[in-house]
Amino acid sequence: MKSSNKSEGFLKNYIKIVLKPDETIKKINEQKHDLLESLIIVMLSAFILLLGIFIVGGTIYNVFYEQYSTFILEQLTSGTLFGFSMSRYDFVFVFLSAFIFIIKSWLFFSIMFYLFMRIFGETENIKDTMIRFSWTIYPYAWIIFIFSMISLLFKLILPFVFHYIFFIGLGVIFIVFIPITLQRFYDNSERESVSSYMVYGSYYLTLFVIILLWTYNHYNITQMVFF
Amino acid sequence: MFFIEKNNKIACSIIFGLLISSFVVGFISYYMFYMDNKQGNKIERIILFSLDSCNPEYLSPDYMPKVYSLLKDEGIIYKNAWAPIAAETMNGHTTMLTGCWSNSTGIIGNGYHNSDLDEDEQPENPVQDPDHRLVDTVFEHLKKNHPSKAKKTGFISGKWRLPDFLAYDAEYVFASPVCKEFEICPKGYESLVGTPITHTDGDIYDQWSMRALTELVRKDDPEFIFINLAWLDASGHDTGSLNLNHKRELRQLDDMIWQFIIDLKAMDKYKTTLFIFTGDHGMNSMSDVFVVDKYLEENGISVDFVHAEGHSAFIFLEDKDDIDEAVELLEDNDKVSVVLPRSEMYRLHLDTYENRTGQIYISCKEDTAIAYKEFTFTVIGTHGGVSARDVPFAVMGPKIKKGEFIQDIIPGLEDIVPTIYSLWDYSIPNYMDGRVLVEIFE
Repeated sequence: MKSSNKSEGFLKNYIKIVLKPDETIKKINEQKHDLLESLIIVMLSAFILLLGIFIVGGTIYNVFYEQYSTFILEQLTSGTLFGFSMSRYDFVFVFLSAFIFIIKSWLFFSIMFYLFMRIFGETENIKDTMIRFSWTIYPYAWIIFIFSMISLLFKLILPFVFHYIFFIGLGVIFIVFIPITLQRFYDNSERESVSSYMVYGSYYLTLFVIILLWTYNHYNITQMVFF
Repeated sequence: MFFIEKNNKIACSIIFGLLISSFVVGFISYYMFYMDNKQGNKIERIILFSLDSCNPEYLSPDYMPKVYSLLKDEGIIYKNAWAPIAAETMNGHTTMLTGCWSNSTGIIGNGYHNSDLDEDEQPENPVQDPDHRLVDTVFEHLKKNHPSKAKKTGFISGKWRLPDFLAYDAEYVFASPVCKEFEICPKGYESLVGTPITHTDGDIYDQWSMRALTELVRKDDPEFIFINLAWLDASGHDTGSLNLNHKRELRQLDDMIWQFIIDLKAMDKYKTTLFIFTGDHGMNSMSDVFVVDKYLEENGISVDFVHAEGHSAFIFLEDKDDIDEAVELLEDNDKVSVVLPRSEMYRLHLDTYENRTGQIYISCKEDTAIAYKEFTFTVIGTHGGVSARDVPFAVMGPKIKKGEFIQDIIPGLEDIVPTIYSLWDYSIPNYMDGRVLVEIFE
């Protein structure tokens, strides 16, 4: 990250990075950024994302709750392994814990990506990685929010499958759009060019580790894939 | 060093604080609001959990620690219970929901061969036509006999084939999309539970079934709910008993039931709920196959048909005069553990119509499955015989003793319905074979 200019147009960048990534990423790379700003991006995104899920409710809320609350990283860091957990109907507590889960996901994504980049021999800085990830993944929250609102319509016309449409949309963002945005950060930076293979490789390996950790407590679904 | 800037320090402190609060949020929500595990005195709903293909040892601190610890303190656990023979899904659940042994229900396994019919007229295997069942289920009996004191009932089936056979007259039925007679879920639940993911044979994954249960209790709250959790069976067949993946499934099941109990507490319905945990039959890992017709025919006995059910088989002989000789031959075979000619089938409550049972019943050892002609096994885990009849049995709720482990009494699945009727103060119909489990009452 360049550190010559002050951070400006924060909200504008937050919205535009999804719509005009090249132009916005160039601008972001020219500005000075710190972790507090990144944390605000993640927290804002967590709020927007959860707001959408809570407004739509129904199966989307149920599946989201069932999946995140039984994710092994969440269990290890929230006390579920010690025998206590909250009800899906304690909406305030669910909101709080899911909010923190999204922040934990930011840390985990950044650390795993950083480690893979270092393993591949790239000179990477953990702070820059965290800032890059906050700008890469989390602004998509407002797109997901809009998608949630569209899901309300699907809820009326396709009540049995509307949650699949939502989660498949979420999956496409993570598998297709985010790595492309991430690569643009490296392309538009002034640092020595980084191989696309390294960036995509590290990102997809990070996703793979997350899926592996998810399978630990989700045998019901993973059996569908492996048998 | 990247923590030198002031804002970075603030960010790191906030992140650290949030990580700590993640633990605190869970702690507060559980211990401040749901600490009370004590049950009340009034039963407002009974939930019968059928853990498909569950050995008694699965409900233990090793595999299902959360549910076991709750049952150990707040309920009664039997060392084991007995499922009907052949230890299969259809007759296990039929007994569970009728209060009758196999000889009364007429259902002796997942299917049967009717020796009076031609090949093309044989009953579907597994049996799907409720006309083959000789007695009413609890749902049918309640509707017919207690219309004035009608109980609302629910039937949630992870197994695709149970609803078409057993769910008639249940008010709320949740079933696999493969099911012919019932919709996936009742009206109003579509956007709460969604379409379930199904196993290749059509069975539904447990997370969906538990979601349906939670939403059913929250929304319509029937007084009796039967729920079959089928994935344990699928995983047992695919990977064998207590394979690492099978253990993962048990751990997930434990988490899901635990989560449901927490949700019940949040709804303030835990204190008035009676839980019954059992299974329709056990599960064994197999390593050997016994081709029974080949064995008998090599020794000069002509076989008309063999109806195989995992470890069990019902043998239809060409000539009934060969029974004694065939029994002697089978008893001499190391792979066979139980041999009952028709005259002794009452010992395992199998003495229903002869055109369903044939002349000889056999059960093999736990590692051996029975094959007929050139049948090829594609699964590792199996059940069906006497070695797979042990299932877990535990009860917890109002009016039930707390913290007892019963070793010297073995209940049967046929005891469930009479015990429920007794708790409701309903008279128990004469046709039911089960008894009231009086030893569990406070």
